[in-house]
Amino acid sequence: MLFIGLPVVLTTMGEFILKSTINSIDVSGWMTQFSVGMSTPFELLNQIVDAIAGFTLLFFLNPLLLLALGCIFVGGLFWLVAMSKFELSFLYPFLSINYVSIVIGSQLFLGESVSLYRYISVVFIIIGLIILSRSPHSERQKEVT
Amino acid sequence: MNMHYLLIAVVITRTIGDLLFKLSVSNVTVSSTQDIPKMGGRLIKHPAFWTGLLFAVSSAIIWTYALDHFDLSYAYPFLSICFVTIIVGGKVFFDEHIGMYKLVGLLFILVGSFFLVLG
Repeated sequence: MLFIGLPVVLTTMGEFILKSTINSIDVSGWMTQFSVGMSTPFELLNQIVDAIAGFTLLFFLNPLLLLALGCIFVGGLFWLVAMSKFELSFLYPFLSINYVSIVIGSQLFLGESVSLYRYISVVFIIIGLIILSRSPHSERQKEVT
Repeated sequence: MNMHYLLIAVVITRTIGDLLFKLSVSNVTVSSTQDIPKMGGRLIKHPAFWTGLLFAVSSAIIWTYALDHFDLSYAYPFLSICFVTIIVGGKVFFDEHIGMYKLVGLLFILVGSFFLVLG
């Protein structure tokens, strides 16, 4: 169960750290240094490359962003381990815990106003995931059953 | 300005990345833990793996940028559209079978995304 619990906790934590860190950074202020204006196609391309490099630089100036992406990445690795140990039909519904914890957590910890529509949408996504998990997950399994 | 193109870019790059990862492990079967180093060795030689990684990293960077413009409680459920694009991609590129359960499941996810964008 550790391999199922860890991905859920790590990705949820990672997304919260990512969002709260990006909330605390003045991204648009930072990006004005790399503003993209209309000019010759070559200059425009140059500026776009500058803007991408400038935004990527933010990750190294704010290590919390890297930590957050690291959490999400390691969570993904544990998820792969879980997939090798358990049936996909058993694992898929656990993905829906992420949706619930992230939407409720956004409201509680990040102060986002979550409309009824968002909750309805999450309910539909979870039902969809549970139905998806009932389908045979590979040709191999289909032959056995 | 409608910034949804950012979220759509995340969906597209993530889908391409995942399909490339699938391509890089196709024809590889892991039957025991002893096969894992062998598989890793094959992976790092496979161009599809590195291209997939490039797309996955770009996806993460665009995702971070998108979070500057959207609530997490909106952006995270929005990415469930990846389930739709990836399953359709599996059908188109890997000839995977889409049965009744997948079809209905995807339909529910699409309806969910519709409600999300609505409010």
